[in-house]
Amino acid sequence: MIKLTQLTKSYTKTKKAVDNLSLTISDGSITAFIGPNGAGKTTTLKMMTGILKPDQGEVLINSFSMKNNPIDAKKQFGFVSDNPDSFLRLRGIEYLHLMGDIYEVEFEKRIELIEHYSKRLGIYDTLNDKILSYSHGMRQKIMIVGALIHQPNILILDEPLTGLDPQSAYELKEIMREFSKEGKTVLFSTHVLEVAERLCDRICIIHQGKVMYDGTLEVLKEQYPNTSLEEIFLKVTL
Amino acid sequence: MKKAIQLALKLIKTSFVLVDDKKKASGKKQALFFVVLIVLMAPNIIGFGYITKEITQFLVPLSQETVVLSLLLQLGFTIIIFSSVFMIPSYMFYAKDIEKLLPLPLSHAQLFLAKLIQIHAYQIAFLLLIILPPLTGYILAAGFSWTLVTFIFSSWLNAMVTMIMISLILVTIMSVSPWFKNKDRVTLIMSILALSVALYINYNIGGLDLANPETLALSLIQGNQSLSEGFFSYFLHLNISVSLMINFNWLNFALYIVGSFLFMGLVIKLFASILVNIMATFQGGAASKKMSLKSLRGHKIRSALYAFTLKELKLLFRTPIYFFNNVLVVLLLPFIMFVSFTQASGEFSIEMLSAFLNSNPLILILGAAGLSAIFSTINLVTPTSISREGENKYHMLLYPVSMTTQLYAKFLSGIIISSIAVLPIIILIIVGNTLCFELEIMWVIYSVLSAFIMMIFINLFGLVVDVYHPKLVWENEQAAVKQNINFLFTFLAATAITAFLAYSLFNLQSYTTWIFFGTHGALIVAIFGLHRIITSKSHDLLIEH
Ligand SMILES: Nc1ncnc2c1ncn2[C@@H]1O[C@H](COP(=O)(O)OP(=O)(O)O)[C@@H](O)[C@H]1O
Ligand SMILES: [Mg+2]
Repeated sequence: MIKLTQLTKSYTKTKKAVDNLSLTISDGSITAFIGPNGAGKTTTLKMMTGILKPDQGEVLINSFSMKNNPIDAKKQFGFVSDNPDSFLRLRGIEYLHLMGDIYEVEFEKRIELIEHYSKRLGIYDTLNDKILSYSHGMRQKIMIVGALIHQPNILILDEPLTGLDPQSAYELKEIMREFSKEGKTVLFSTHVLEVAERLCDRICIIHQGKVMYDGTLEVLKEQYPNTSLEEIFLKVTL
Repeated sequence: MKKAIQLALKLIKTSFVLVDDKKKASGKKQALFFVVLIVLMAPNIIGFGYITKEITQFLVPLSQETVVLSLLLQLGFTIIIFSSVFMIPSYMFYAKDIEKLLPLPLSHAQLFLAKLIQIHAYQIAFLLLIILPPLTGYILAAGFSWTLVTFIFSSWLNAMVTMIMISLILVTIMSVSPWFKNKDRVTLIMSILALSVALYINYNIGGLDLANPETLALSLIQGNQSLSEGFFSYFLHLNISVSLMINFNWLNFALYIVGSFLFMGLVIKLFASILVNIMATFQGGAASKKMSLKSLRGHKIRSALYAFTLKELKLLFRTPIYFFNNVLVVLLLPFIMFVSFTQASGEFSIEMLSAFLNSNPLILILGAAGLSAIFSTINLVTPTSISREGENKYHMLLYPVSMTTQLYAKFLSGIIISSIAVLPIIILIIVGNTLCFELEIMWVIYSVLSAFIMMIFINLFGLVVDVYHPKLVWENEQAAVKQNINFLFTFLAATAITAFLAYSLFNLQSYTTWIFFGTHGALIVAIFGLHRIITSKSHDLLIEH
């Protein structure tokens, strides 16, 4: 479970990137943060994951406070950022073992998970290459495998579907579904409303740092009958 | 042309930031850093200018003062060659901005020209920094003359032509074989080439007596210029400008200028498209190695500290820029120092050293501390350890591992790299003492302790400096290490401590023991202070604000 209480962040004096945002995300669900570029999605995710210090507010992850007990809070989730250009001079397999060491994953378990997820995402055969030689999508995938290696209860992804080919996007969505079926939590951000269709239990439309809509896509559609998703999105974020 | 210049100005503006401060109040800070930089460099700058003035004064009555200018021209040329070898790949092929520049509505020639201007501007700034002091010394001794004008013109043209020649060579090499289209490989080859030339030059300079301007001047005119005969004679434009300075002639001068510009224009015209195509297809990484069950399982479980340290070392060794700036220096500097030392001191013998040390054993401690300080400072591992993370610093905040552990992994990597040079010195001291010096064992223990304390302090200090002041925004790895002001602070600290030790040793002889224990005690206290900063403040300093 993720609990955000009155999160606020401003980078400049005049404008709040995230404005008094409160939200509780329950276990076993897939939630999407949806909003146009600059809405504050990345900023919110960064505060949730301990990368960015909130001006105000609190983050609880499986009831561990990010402020008071960051180590335990950070053990709860796997996070994939929107910038996957990391550890370029490590081989894929070296990166995954590094993550295994950091998260203290037992050896046989990590081998099993590496094989399972990297084969599903189609990067198993390249694991012996340096990440430098990977394409953008492949780099994203290795980061996803790295985030799953300690079998976290919560998976947080920033714009995960941008840059993936249809096959991998499908696989990733499948992984998310399985994840939530096991009672675990998935939270991801996107700027495309369509992505949320048939995948999310809940969507949070964020605009200018505030939640403009919070609920299911079906209810949202009922509120705006005979309107395309694109138009709904434009209306909500107006 | 105009568009290219505008673009070049933009590129220079965005990439040349010594202090990166998101909150933009960096104007004052930048100015402060430049002042510190200049104050630190002052002794060297003044010394270089002074020795040039002395030499020139000696040469003027013999009408041989042009030798100085021709040497300066060669020095400038050497600087351009070296910086080109590193800068051209960094700024032309691997810079992160290439992806953004390629789609712009610019012709290939404009893009190429903009990049050339950008590199040229940096090189000229660097050249001025180095050439101006001795040139001032020269002017003070010899006054103004036409030769001087020729020199300035030639230096400028030389810089441009040389840089374009190097880029031409690089482009040609890269277009010949896809094998060269690998960033790391090219950087490695280039660095080895540059290094060989550096060693060659160093070897030749080692024979010159730098301490005595008069003999130096004499050996210069007596044709003891092995530099200009060997390596430099292959470069036509350099020879033309030297002969122009010695024997000025308007026609040749005009021909030289026209020729240079024609050459540059031709290269830009003919090679721009090839070059831009290379930029576009450049790739990183090595050829594919087959994945197997063996490599999947070929790892051991490691503690977080061990795993992080190993990761730091892997990145240091595998990233060519880091390998050369952070690792190879500690391998090569001792070697270079040794070569220069043996060449400079002809009548040196172990007996002399032994007698010297026995006359005042504290010299052994000073030597150990001083060398340890030099090698711990020069590798720049810890003062750039956060900076090198760059945009990836956020990973450090994601891990469920305390910031202290993560930072100590970086500290350990610094200690390991420093030890490559410091440990052999310690072994030399121990072996040397057992076989020759035969000082009391106490002195050996003190000097070994001193070397260790110095190494720990400097590495920890550099790390804390980088925690407070990382340079996280950079276009290429070169900038993360080389355009990083943090080394200045470590350099300053190391110099201050060593200078204090040296001063007290030679001037306050009756208190040396007290001063020795006082200084080292203070260093140990400082180490604990730095440790406190790491445990209590580092997370707050590194989290994004
Ligand atoms: N490091 C930063 N410095 C200043 N402003 C920032 C920074 N990061 C984001 N912003 C601003 O905060 C707002 C929200 O950005 P972000 O959270 O990245 O949006 P999203 O991920 O929804 O596209 C934007 O207006 C953006 O310009
Ligand atoms: Mg974003």
